Amino acid sequence: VAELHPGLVLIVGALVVAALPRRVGAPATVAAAALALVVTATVPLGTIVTFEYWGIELTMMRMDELARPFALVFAAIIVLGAIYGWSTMGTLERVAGLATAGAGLGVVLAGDLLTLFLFWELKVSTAVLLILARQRATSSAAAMRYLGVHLAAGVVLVGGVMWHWTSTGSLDFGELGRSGASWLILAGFLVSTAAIPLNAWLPDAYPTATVAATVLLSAFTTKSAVYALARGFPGLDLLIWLGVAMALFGVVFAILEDDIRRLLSYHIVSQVGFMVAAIGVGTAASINGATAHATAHVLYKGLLLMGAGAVVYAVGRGRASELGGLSRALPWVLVLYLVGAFSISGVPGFSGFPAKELAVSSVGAGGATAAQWLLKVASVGTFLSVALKLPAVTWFGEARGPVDVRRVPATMYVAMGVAAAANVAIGVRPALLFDLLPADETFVAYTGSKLVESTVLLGFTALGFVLLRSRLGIKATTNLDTDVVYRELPAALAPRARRMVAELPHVPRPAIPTFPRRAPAAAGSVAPGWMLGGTVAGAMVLVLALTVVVR
Amino acid sequence: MPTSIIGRAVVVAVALVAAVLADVVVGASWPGRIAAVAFAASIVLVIGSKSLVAPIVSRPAGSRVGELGDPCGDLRSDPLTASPVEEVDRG
Repeated sequence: VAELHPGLVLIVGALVVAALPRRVGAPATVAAAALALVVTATVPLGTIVTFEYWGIELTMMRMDELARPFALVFAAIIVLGAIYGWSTMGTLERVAGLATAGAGLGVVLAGDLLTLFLFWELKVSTAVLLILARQRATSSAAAMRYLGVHLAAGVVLVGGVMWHWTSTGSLDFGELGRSGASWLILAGFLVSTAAIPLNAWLPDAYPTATVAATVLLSAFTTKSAVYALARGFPGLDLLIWLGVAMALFGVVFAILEDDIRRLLSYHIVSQVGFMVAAIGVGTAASINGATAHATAHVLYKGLLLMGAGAVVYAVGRGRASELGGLSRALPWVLVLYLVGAFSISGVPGFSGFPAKELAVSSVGAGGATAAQWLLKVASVGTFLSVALKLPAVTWFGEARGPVDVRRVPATMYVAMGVAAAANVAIGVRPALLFDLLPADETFVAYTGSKLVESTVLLGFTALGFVLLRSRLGIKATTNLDTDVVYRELPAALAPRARRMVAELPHVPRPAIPTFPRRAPAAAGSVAPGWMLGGTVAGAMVLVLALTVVVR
Repeated sequence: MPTSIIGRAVVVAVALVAAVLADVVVGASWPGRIAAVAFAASIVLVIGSKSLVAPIVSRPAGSRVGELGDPCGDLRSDPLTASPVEEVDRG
């Protein structure tokens, strides 16, 4: 068991679930996820599993102090996600969800860059399937944009990996230095962290998936990229300011956002910014901070998206401008959501408090005092929009439209309850999290000064919210992100290109495909097969070809 | 919360005094600094987002860009999740 790869357990589990009758899909998914959690928890630190591929020794699994917390929380969230989606997920979501989680585990356990890349691309392919599983025009179109962005990033990543391999002769995944190859690898990683201005795929794609799929999507892509940055680029100064920019950008857009799951998606960008900044500082304490924050973030962001998803499931609407007055209809969803909201806001007693304190204070202790203060400003925006604005417009006030609430399945409450309990447990006893961190550093989260600072920061934010509440009025808007370029530009250029080609002499009229502004409704039902096959096969062929060339 | 400006100013002042006292008790180097930062940040973020950023990036949900970019545009008629009955429809 010690050498059993938990990611492969999930991938094999996905294949088994695909083959099983639909009626046993839910228990089989939970069983596969639970088995992977047990396997992850029992793999001893220091385990290294290698295999030989065309004479190249690849490290399929490396369980060390940095990989362990990421692996454990990945394995935990797939269990919660499988329970949450017990009665709502279709077979495609279950299979894709298990495979995405398996690929995410494969990324964080990969000991070399080639193995990392293969799992990375599998993660992208299966995440696309998760988005497509909703089978709506908007989700299909968002999935295509997600695929385009991540395949482009994958090409950059594999280019960097091959360049690194040929120049150093090594595929080991450790600190990658500052070579041309490492900049390419960094660019590939940064796309997956949703670093601005390459962030738009995240709030574009995640809220278009089904409620359970969004929970799973939120866990693996950005956090495995955070892990990769922590492993490969600790102490890169650029990351400090990139992280700060992400943290502030995310909260500004979250304040404007009308769609509740899109609002929470912008907070993924923002919170990942905290982690990226801490990695940029690069001290042992700040890597601990980034790891702690990433681990807690998977748990509380999962809970927040479960809560928002429960609202959307119950009401069938996801825009704050169409919600309101749900506190009587969905009181327990409110309570559980607030646990997540208090956690992400860093309220003492919840998981985000020790994690965020460690991350932010380590940034300051590492010499980046200005960045530390800007991260505190971002914390203000987090509390403002996630814990104050969103509950106020969703659960309180008058209902904005007819409310026909359908019953939330018990399994959703179970998953949210367990996630909430985990967040409170870490908040009350930070050692549960801190004992898992990579560096042997002591940090005391609960001191008088930290408690006062946190309480004052949150209290004055609440005061500002009360005073400015009328200005926070919700409008039914769509906010343009940087994705407006790749959404609009091809559509704008296509007619011109068509005209230019048509005007060429002696050329048969070409069949230039129209850029799919809105994918056909049936795209979701036909796309998964060719997309998964094509992407995985393409990645495999690319790697094989490059292997031959390099050899 | 009082509705008059004076009443609100009094509330903010009292809260600020309490925050300064709390900072003094725990030995903070600049008593009241975090309170001022948090209060100013909340105002700047709200007003800045709504007054400066929103006019540039926000479009009505029904506009052309809104239709293109509205990630939950079909939620109104879409039950969103695949209920077991809908699963059967998926084939």
